[in-house]
Parts: sequence; structure tokens; C-alpha cells
Amino acid sequence: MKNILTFILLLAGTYTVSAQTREPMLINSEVTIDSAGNGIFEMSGKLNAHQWQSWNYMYGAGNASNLKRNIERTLSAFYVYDFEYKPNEMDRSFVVRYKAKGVVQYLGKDNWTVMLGLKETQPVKLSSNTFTATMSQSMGSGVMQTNMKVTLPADVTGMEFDKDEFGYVVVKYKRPTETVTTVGNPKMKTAGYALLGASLVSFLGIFYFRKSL
Amino acid sequence: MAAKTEKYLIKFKGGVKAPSTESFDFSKEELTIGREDNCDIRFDPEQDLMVSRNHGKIIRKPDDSIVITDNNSRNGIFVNNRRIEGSAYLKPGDTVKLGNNGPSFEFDLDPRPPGALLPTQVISVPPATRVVETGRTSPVSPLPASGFKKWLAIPLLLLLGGGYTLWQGFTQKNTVAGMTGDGDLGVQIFPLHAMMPAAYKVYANPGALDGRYYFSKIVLDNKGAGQLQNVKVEYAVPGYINWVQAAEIRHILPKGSSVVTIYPQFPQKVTEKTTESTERMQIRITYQTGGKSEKYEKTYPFQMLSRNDFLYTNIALNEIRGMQDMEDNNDLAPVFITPQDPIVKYYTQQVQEKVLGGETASVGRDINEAVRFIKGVYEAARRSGMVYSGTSGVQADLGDIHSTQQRVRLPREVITGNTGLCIEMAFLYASVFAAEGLEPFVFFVPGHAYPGVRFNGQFLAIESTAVNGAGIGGVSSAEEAFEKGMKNLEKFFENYQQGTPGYSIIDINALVKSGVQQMELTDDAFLRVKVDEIARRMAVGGPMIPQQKPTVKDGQAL
Repeated sequence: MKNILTFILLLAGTYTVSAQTREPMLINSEVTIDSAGNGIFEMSGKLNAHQWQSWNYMYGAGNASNLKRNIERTLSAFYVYDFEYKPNEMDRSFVVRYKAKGVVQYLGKDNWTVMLGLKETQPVKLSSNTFTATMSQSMGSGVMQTNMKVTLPADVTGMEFDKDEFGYVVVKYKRPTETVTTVGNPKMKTAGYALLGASLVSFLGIFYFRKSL
Repeated sequence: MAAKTEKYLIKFKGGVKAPSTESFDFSKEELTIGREDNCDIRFDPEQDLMVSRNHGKIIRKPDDSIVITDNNSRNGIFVNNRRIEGSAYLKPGDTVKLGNNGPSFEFDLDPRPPGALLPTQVISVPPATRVVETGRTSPVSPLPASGFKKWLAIPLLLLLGGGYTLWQGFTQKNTVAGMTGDGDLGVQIFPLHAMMPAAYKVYANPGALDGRYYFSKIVLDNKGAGQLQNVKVEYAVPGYINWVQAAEIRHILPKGSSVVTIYPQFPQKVTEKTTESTERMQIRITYQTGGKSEKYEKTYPFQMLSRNDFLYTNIALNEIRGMQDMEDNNDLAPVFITPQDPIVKYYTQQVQEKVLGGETASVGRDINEAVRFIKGVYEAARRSGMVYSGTSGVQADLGDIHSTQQRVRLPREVITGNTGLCIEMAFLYASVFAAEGLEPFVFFVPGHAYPGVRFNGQFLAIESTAVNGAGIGGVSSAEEAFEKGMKNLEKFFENYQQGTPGYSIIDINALVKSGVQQMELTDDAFLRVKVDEIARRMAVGGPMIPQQKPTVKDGQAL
């Protein structure tokens, strides 16, 4: 997800318009990468009254297509689709969900990389396939803090972080791709059940004919 | 009438106790055999070591038949030289041996029951075919229970076999190839339908404004079961760009996707285009799957506008709902601001010499010097007789929109033509300001645009259209134009802060740093001559006299 920061800044563009905003704006972002390398994104935020008014001016009252257009423009390196936008007027909060293709690159020999536009932050591993990153941006008179959590496929190993020539964080990992290990053999299960059945039948037969044996 | 049996008789034939005889009352139902002290038929614990402590027992059944049972002794029990398994019937006269070479005795009853009075049948034992130390022989008189148990081995074996096989069926791991079969490429192309030659450098720069001005986006999906390998995406624009590889993707996995964005490098000659034309973009995708090479080709048309066309928005006219939609391409405005244009540079030089008396307003000096420079540019335009063309430069509201594009004179054309719309004059002023190292800005308000700078954090602006022209009513002096510009600025920020539609600001330097590079224009001797003519008019009245008192304080014109 290249330039996710730019996208967040775009979403929170109203934050810089008003000089009245002082409290930090909190954005939560969750990214899930599936086994094929496509991404599912969910961003949510809670705004104060003034921010909400500006937000609604841009994206409310049937203008949610503007939001979709802004997302598509900012995330130009991907193909984004399946948009879902849920504003909550009571809480002055919103949730944006969408999917993206082309998020991850497969390099061959079970090696994968993903770039999420993270810069000037240090990702922290939570588990073998999840990590978080926190970013703070000065927005004129206030601060915007973004907490991002990324979940990779469950069979990921060797997750590590690197940086490209522009200073963006590159996440590298391995996962079995060109070979698949399956557990279970249907034919052996069938044979096992057959032998158990034969055992039962033979026991019944022996018991029935025990006097003549 | 036969006499009733009264006693068991044990006649020792071998071992320590031979040749004695022991008798037991027939009422006893069980006679134990062994070396233990409590055994009925007791053998010497020190010398009869072939005998186990509890070797076996002789049991009288309810029907008075006699059975001898082996208590799983180590050396076994032999009846008439045949080893028994489990139990065997015992008849009077049978010889019982404990262990193959152990002590032996003859079993008898006193008196013998009627059936037992018959002469003892000599059982002919076939010669041994092999030496069996502890081997088992077939039972002398097997009980039905022993055969039954033997047959139970079959279901037991089947049960064990079935259980193991079933466990294997649930836990066995197999490593197989993850992808077999052929891949199936699906292609979606999202092209730009119209291109501004003035922005040709932006279209070529994937880093410009986060890459949003791609020329074409191609989504490659693999809908098959196998991989797509070595996928190469190439494109060409006949007459402008020969075949170029846009991307090479080593692998696209089943159900996976890859996205390729094309940023074509049009040659500089596109800036010479003064008319609109229809061009073609050709796309070719080659890949390998299932050992075969495949190819996909597609050609689509697009409009190449003239270098003077400013496409306000890429959104279709019938999709525009507000001013924000209309200002979709405002970030591309800097492509029309050309401080590096040799003609603009030459013009700026003439303004410095003829109007400003050779002085410049560079960064770090007093703000009043910047104000003087701004006024000097206006004065140069006024003296040269530059004419303001009219108010059709910027849309006032959505009702004004009949087209999403507008023809814009380049700064050099405004200079040499000595006329311009508000937006064209704003672009010219911004070009001159940038040529002098100032931070130029363009302020858009509904139906109008005017230029300014930011100097030491303070905004300055001038009403560039205050020169001769329609709807303004006469020619303002440089001071009047500057004063009007600063008043406009105050009103501008009031509306801008509130987010009023139509009020936007273009930070030229910031956009250039974001990758919106201006077009390159070549020098032109003829245009230089035109500039010389204009400069002669600028020189009339001599250089502007610099004012001693400040003209700006706290962002307000004094």
C-alpha cells in the first residue's frame, strides 16, 4: 500500500483547514494480506465536531464517491475495489473498507515482499505474521496519530523489515508457495474404515459360530 | 456295579520323589502342583528346579472328569509326552511330566472309574521332526475355549491394522506441487482518455504527486490453476514512443494479481503541438504458462490535446457534482508556469533593467524589496500596454462549465501577445516571480485568479488584471493594483479557511517539488525581438523610484 500516509493525510485534509483543531486525530488502520497477495484494508477514525462538519462537507450527503475517487487516486499503484463506507453520525466516526490488488510481490522460491508506504517509523512484531507501526504527523496546529496493524498469511515465516532506497519500509517474508504440504490421505482413511468394519464382522462371525470352531 | 472313586493316586516316576506314591482324597476338587510349600503335589524346591513354584493344578470338574491346567509355567506340562496348552483332560494311567526333562508322575484314581478300567491306549507319538526345547506342540485334548481364542486373533489383527491405517489416513503429510496446470490471464486496462502535452513530464514521473497521473493502469489477474511466469508488459505510442517495457513480473500466482501503471516518456516535441489529435496507445503482454508462451495485445485511442490546453479535470462532464470535481487537475497548473523558459527569463531581465533599475528582490531581503519587485512586474505590463482579455479564464460556478478543458496562453505568449486572461496573467506573473527565486502562488477564487508570493512566511498578492481591459474600468497604478491584491487576499483567506467552494491556492514550489515539472521550451530569436520591442515601451518613464517608507506591515498594505 504505497503512500498510505499520503492517503491518510488526504482523508484528513479537513484537519488542516481549521485552525480550531487542537486535539490529536486518531486513525486506526488494519491491513490483512491473503494467500494470493491481495489486501483487505479497513480504516477508522473519530472526529471532533468541527472536523466532522468538514468531513461531511467533503464526503457526506451522497458524496461518498469523492472518497472512493480520492482513495483510487492516492493508491495509484494498486487496483482498489469493493468499497464500503460507513459513517456514524452519532459518534462522528467512520469506517472505510476496501480491497486492493497488487499489494504484494512474489519473488519466487517462496519469497515475498510487501510495501505499505511506511516511512519514519519502526515496525514492531506482534507474532510471526503480524506487526504494528505507529506514525505521528504534524498537521498544522495539531497532530495526527495513525496506528496500523498488518496481518500476513498464517503460514508466513522469517518476517523481517528492510528499507528501500527512498527510506520506505519493505517487509520480507517466506511462505510455502510452490509446494504444498497436505495432511491426511483419503484412500488410507477408506482402507482404515474398511479394516475396522472387517474386524467387526469377523468378530461377530466368530462369536456366532464359536461352538463349531 | 462299579466302585466309587475314593482317591487320587500320584505315582512318581522320575525326579527326587521317585518311586514313591502319594494319594489325595477324591473329595478335593483341586490339587496344586509346584515347589511352593502349600502345593498339594509338592516337589523339592532345591532339586526339582524344572518345576515352577506354582506349576499347575489338577482339577476335578462337577461331572468328575479330571483336567490338568498349566499355570503358565516356564517349562510347561507334558501329558504322555505331549505338551499341553492351557488345559487338557487327564485319564488314569496318563504320565505327567513337568518340563521336558523334569520330574514325572503317573496319574491314577483308586478305584478307577468304569471307563478307565479299559486297558490304557498306547498313544503312538510320531518321531519329532525337530528338537523343540521350549516349543509348543499341538494340544493333547484342546478345550473349545482355546480354539475360540485362536480365532479371535483375526478380528484383533484387523482391528489393529484398521486403527493404524486410519491414523495414518488422518495424519499423513504429503508434499505436492502447489500449482499445477495452466494459468489464465485476465486483463483490465484503465487508460487516460486525454493527455495534456504541457504535463508530459508529469505523466513520465511515477513519483509525481504519488504517481496519480499514470497514463494507463493495467490489472493482471490469474484466473487459472497454474502460474503465469515472466509476464512482460510493453507499450508504444506510434509517432512518439517506440516499444518500451513497462514492467516485468516474474510470477503471478493462481488467484493472484499484479498491477502495472504506465508512465510514458513522451519526447519534448509534444510541447510544439498546437492542435488536438487522436493518437493510439498499443499494449502488448507476453507471458509463459504451462510451458507455453502466450501473448495479449490491445490498442486504444486517446486524445492528445494541444500544448495550450489545460484539462481542469479528468472527470467526465456529466459526473461533475461540485467545484472540487472541477478542480481535480489543479495540481497540474504549475506545468503552465515556465520560469525556465528562455523567453520568460529574457523578459524578466528586461523588467529588472528597464523598470526596476537593475535591482532584484531576492530571498532574505527586506519584504519591501519583494513588494517593489511585484509592483515592478505589474508596472512593466502596464507600460507595455498589456491588455486584460476578459473574465472567461476561470469558472465562477458549475453553470459556467461547458467543457472540462480550456485553452491557456503560455507565459511567453502572454508576453509577446501582450494580452491574457486572468489565469494566463497569473501564470505569467508566477513565472517571473519564480525566475527571480521568489515563492510564487496562484490564488483561485470563483471566476478569477491572481498571483502572489510568500516572503518570509508572509503572503503578498497583486491584482494582475488591473491593467487595461474589459470590465475593470481604466488602468490602475502599481500601488493601486497591489493594494487591491492585498485586500483580495484578506477576503480569500477568510473563505479558504471556511472551506468555501471555489477558493483554492496553488503552491507552485511545493508542487514542483512533488514532481510537477514544468515543460521545456526552446529559445526563439523571433520572440526575443518581440520582447525587445516591449522592453522599449517598458523603459518609457525610467526605472521605478524605490520608496523609503515601508509599504507592507503584518501582511497589510500601508
